[in-house]
Amino acid sequence: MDTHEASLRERVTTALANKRQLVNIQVATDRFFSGRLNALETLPHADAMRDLARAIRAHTISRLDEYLLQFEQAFTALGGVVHWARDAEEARQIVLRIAQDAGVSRIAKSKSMVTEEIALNAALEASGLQVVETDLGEYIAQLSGDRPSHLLAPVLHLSRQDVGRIFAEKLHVPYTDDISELTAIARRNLREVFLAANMGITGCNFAVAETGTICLVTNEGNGRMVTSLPRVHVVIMGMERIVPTVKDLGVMLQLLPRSGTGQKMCSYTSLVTGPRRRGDPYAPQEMHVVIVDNGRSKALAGDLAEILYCIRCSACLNACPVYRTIGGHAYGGVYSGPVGSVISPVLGGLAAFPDLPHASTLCGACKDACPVHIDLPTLLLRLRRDTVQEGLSPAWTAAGMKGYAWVTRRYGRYRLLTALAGAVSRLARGRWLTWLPGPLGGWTRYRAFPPFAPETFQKRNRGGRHE
Amino acid sequence: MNEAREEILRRLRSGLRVGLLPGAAAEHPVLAFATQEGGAERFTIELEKLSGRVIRAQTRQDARRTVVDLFAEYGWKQALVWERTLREHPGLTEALQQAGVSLLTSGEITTLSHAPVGITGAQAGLADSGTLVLQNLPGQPAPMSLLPEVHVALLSARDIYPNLQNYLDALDSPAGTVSASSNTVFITGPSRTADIELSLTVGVHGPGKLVVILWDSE
Repeated sequence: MDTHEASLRERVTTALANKRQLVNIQVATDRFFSGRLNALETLPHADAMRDLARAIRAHTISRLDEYLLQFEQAFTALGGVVHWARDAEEARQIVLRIAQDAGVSRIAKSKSMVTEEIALNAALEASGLQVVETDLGEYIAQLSGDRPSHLLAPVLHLSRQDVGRIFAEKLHVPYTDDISELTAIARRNLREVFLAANMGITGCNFAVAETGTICLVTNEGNGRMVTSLPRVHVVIMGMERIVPTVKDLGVMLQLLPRSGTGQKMCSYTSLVTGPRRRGDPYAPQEMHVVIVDNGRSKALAGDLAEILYCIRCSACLNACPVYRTIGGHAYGGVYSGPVGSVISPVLGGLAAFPDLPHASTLCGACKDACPVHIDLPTLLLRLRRDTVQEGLSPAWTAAGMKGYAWVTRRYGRYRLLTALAGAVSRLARGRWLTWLPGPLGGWTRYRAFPPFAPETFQKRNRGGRHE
Repeated sequence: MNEAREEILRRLRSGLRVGLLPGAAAEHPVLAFATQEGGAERFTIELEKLSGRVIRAQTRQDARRTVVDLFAEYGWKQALVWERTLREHPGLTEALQQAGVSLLTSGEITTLSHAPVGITGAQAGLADSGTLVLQNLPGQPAPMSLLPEVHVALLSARDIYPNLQNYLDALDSPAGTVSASSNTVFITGPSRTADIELSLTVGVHGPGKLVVILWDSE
C-alpha cells in the first residue's frame, strides 16, 4: 500500500475525529442541498435552463481559443492588460511583477479558488506584501492559519466560540461569541483594510468574451469593495471561466447561486468592465487579468475534458455522501468533493492524488445535482482506470483482479469458489462476517460483510425450489 | 509573456483536436426565453423575503415625500446621494436640506465611507428575485450603494422586468448596456453572510439595510 493511500486514510481519520465539524458539515450540506432543490423549483423550465447551460459550456470549451482571444481583444480595448500564465509559478511571478511595477504594498483579496490553487498568498507575503482575505470566512481562516473546508462556507469546521477566541487573540478585541458582534468587528477591521489597500485581487466567476467583462458573485459585498476601491485591480482567471455573451452570462447567473447556496441571486453580482473611465473616479486606475492554464490545456486533450464545464457552484459537494461524511479537508487538495476528486488529479497530476478517484461511492448524486450535468461518476471511473494504467494502484488490486479472472474463466474453478463461499457462510450460520483475511480486511475494518447464500443459484434452480 | 500566450494557445488547439467534449455543438446555442409574469407585487414579495423593505408610493412627488419621511423616521442627518437622483426628483434636495439632512454627491472615499445612508436610483428591477440593477456612471457612483450601512433606492415600477432573461431580452443590446459602464451591479437584498455557524447575519461589508421606494406613475 502506498503512502498516498495511507495519507487519505489519515486525513479521513482526522476528519472523523472532529465531531463538531461532522455535525456542521451535515447541517450545512443538508441546508444547501434542500435550498438548491427549492431554488430550482422557482426557476421556470429549470431543466431546460440546465440543458442550455450545458450546451453553452460545451460549445464554449470546444472553441476556447477563439473566445479567449475575443475576450483579450475586448478587455484590452477597455484599457485593461491581459497576461497569460502557463503554470502556477508563472502566474505568481506575473502578479508580483504587477505589484512591483505599480508600487503597491497592501493587498485586499476577495475569495477565489484559483488563487488558492496557485498558492498566491504565500508568494506575495514572501515578497513582503501584506495580503488580507476579506470574505468573512476566509478572513477567519487566514487569521487562524487554517485552510478553507468548503467552497462556499470556508470555516464550517469552527464554532462561534472558536471565532471569538481567534478574534480576541489576533485582533486584540474583547472576547465575544455573539455572531452579530463578531460580524461588526470584522466589518470595522476590514473597512480599514479596503480603504488602505492599493491593490485588489479577485478571482472570476465568469468572463464575458464579447464585452471583456469580469463577473463576480458575492453575498457580503467584499467583491464590490475590492474591485472598486484600490488603485489596481488584478483578476486571476482560470482559463475555462469564459462565456461568449452577456445573455449566456444571464443563463449561468440563474443557475450558479441556486445550485450553490440555494439563492435566486446572490446579494451582489458585479459586472466589472474595464478600469476607470472619464468622469468616473470610483473605479481602479489599472486593471489586469491573468489567464491561468496550470494543467487545463492538458485536461482538454483527454477524455476528462468535460470537467472544464464546471461552474464551481459546489452542488456536487453538498450532494455527495462521502463529502457529507468527511468534509473538505480530508480531500487533501484545494478543491474538494466529487469535482475536487477529478480536478485535483487533473491539474496536479494523478501521482499526487491517486486515492481521490476512490473517494466516491459512484452513486451518481453529484451528476444529478450538477447544473451542467457533468458525468462525474464516469470521469472518476476513467481516473481509476488511469491509476491502474500508470501503475499507481496498489499491487494487490492488480493481483486480485488477475486471480478473479483466473477463477471465473473456468467453470470448474468458479464452482469450487462458490462452494467454498457457501461453506464459509454455513460456518458463520448466516451471521454477517466481521473479519476477512488479507486485503479483504479493508472492508470489514468499518463494516460487516453479508454472508453468501448457503446454496448457489444454480444448485437451487436445479433442485426446482421456488420461493 | 508572448511566449506564454503562444504556447498556451498552441496547447489549447492541439488539445481541442483530440479532447472528448460531450454535447459540444459547433454553433452557439440559440437562447430564447418565454416572457414570465411579474411586476411590482412580485418584486416586493421577493425583496421582503430577503429582509429588504419596500415602500410603495403612487407618484414621483409621493416618492420624494416618502424619502423625507424615512429620514425623519430613522433620524438620519447625513446621506450620500446620486446627482442623477436629485435631478430626477426635483425638490428632493431642498426637502432633505429643510429636514436638516446634509447631502454629499461626491468626495474622497475615506469621507464617503462614514456616511450612514446612501440614496440612489436604479435602472431596472427584476421581479422574480427582488433585484436592483445599478450602473456606475458619472453622477451615479457605485460607492453610494455600497459604503453606507443603509441603502435607499428609488425605483420606478415601469422599470421592473419579470426576470433577468426578460430584462436582457428587452435591452437593444445587452453587450452595449454592460459596456456602457465600468461597473454594473445586480443588488439582491442586504449584504449578508452565513460564514459563522451558518447563522444569517446582515451588513457584513455592504449595507445591512436596504429600502426600496417603489413609485408607480408620474
